[in-house]
Amino acid sequence: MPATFKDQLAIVAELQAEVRRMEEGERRHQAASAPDGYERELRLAGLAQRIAQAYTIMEGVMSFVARRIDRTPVTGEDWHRRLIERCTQAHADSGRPALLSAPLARDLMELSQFRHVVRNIYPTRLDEARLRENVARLIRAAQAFAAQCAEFAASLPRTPSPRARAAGTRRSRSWRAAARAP
Amino acid sequence: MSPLLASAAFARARGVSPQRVRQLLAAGRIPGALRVGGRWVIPADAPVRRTPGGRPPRTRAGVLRRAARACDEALRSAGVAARVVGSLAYGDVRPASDLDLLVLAHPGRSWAQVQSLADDAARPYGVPVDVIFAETLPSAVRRAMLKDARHAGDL
Repeated sequence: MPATFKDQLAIVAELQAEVRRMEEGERRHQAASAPDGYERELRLAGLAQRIAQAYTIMEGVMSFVARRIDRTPVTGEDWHRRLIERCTQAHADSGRPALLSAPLARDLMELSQFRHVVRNIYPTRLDEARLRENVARLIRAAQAFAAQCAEFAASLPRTPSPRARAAGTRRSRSWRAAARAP
Repeated sequence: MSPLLASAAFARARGVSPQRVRQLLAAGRIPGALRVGGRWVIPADAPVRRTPGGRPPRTRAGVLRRAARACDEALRSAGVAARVVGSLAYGDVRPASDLDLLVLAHPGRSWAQVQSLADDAARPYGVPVDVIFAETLPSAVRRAMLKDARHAGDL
């Protein structure tokens, strides 16, 4: 049975739990005495990786929408940016509603740029202020992302009945068939 | 030793047209056939090889399927269990699609070794391969991927 948007909701729920752990960890860390030197660098590098991974998971959900619901994947050099833009808009061909609000899209754009930085600089050169800013942004974005995905899922039609499936409706380009919503 | 036939006689014996026999000869699909001067001589009992690799696939999906089977064979012989995921598995292959393999078991093999086996198997098809180890994925991502995953032989 192919993956559905319901599976993406499970992925988002898992991400949210992970981000909550991160938030609690940050709170504990602030209360404790801060490490310095090499330990501090390690901690910051680990945190930066976590932010990058979390963004990659959200990007995977957006890719699912583009590939499996819109059935027109976003390609080209700046596909990361255009994928976010695509998800802020309703898709005319498939008729699906927008997935992301404009403020969430701005946060995701920032996180995407931060991931690019994390992937392309030495971990010892991380700017701590920018890192903390992005931790806060990720916590805010993960919550909003989960809420907006749930809203999006609720707007998808229900799984077709066995009788409808037996009627032999082959996979159409319509998001209704592609989404097989929860 | 079986008698040697000219291409026209071979065509008559097999009930196909001489043009078809010439096509098969040109494609190297009649083993044992010899070129003598300007003519072909063919052993009367020569088999017609149906697939020296078969007809080349005409679509990206066809190329990816072939590459997936080749990778599956190479990985299985090394004791690695893999499934096809990504656009080939869920049926939305695009001209730039690559081959995504989800590795479920890789006894004693590192990621680099498995990737290298898959790369070697897919090289004749000119297909880039992405090898993903299932156990490295977050559990919800793994579950979603496994729903799409298909055996290379079932594609």
